[in-house]
Amino acid sequence: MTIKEMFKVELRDLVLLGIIVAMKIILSRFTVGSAVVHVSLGFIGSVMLGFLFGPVWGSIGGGISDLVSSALFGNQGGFFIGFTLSAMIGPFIYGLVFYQKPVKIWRIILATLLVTVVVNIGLNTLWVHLLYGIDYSVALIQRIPKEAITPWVEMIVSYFVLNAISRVRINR
Amino acid sequence: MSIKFEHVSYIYSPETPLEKKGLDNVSFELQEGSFNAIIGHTGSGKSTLMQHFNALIRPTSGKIEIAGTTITPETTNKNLKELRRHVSLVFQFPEAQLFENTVIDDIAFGPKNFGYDNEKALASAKFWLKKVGLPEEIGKRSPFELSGGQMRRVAIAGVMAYEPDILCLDEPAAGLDPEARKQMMALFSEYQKEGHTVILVTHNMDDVANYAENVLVMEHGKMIKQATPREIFKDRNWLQEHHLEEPKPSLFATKLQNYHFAKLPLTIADLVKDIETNLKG
Repeated sequence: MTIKEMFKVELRDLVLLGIIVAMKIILSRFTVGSAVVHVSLGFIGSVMLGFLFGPVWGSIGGGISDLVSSALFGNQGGFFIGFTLSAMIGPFIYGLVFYQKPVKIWRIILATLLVTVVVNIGLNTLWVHLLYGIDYSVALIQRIPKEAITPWVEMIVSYFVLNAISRVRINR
Repeated sequence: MSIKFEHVSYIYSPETPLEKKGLDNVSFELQEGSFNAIIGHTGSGKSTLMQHFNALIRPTSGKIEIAGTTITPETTNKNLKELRRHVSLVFQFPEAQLFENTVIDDIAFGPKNFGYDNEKALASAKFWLKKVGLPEEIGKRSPFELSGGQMRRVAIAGVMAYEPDILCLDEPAAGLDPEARKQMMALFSEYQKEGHTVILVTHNMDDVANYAENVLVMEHGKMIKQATPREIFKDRNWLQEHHLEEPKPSLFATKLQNYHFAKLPLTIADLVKDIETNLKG
């Protein structure tokens, strides 16, 4: 695939991309679970972006969703470009693993673990470290308990979401 | 037992700049087993009222008694499942709710949700698929492969499959072809005659004249009239004042000169009969 082909997109797909970006923004406003562990549903948007549009357009969509969401609702602790990068890399990884491939459990486990380690544990901890000057390992330890639980929930949800989307894709 | 609304008010986003009155001190009583219509122009509170029937939204003040449940502002989401098993809403364009792999599974979703076992749910899904006028083969197909009218029927079958005692319909026939519209309305009418309560939100006055026994008229969140269709359509000035249409047969009848009508015909059948009597006499 050449670079040009990667960026090629039909208007209809572009409109769909806009809709999915909007869905991602709405979904990230919702959280489920108890007070102890709550999972934001924004990852569903990232999974859809990666699965439907692949790494290139998926990460563009992810970036836009972060920009639009901070414009509309603001970010906790102010805007920081690093989190935009995080929002791009999530769909990028999902796109690498899921795009134009059959839904398989190992792919879901692989992608979710990669996103958790690279984005949620790696990058986001780094941003917190850079933003607030908290010691990297301290910030990391704070995050670990949550990030040890949420990926498993995300995997199960992703499985059902991907199956549902591929069903709709076949029919249309 | 009847459905009773006592001084029900509902305010959207109370105590914010967006505060808006949805319902304003609404009180009425509906008989069980009757066919009711709710009319009124856009934004009059019909949909807000409808969402109160199964506590999707709960009154800001007042009390609702429906299907053996009392809904007050203090009612919580717990224990409402039983209410929703008995009182069903069919929203506008219900085909947007389809999601399962096959049509049959989609219809059986509601019954399963309300505790039917798998076999019973599928049996009732099959039964209702036929009832809404779709061939059995469609059951195995994906709901997304169907035409708009077929999807509508599947969605309605899904709500009727667990046989709710009270069925609330928001413009169920909007956008259907005339034949399908007639079929769907006949289905609801038959369902009511089997002993269920039907509540129909509609802009179509012909449907009101044809099927309803009792009509609620809403305006600006208030219920301004409750009466039989004959009573409602009697006063032309009142109707115009409240921006309501008349059924086509009665409009036609008033345009006929030198004809005598004992009472204004509201349905095509009445109109035809009255014209016949006039011609013979």
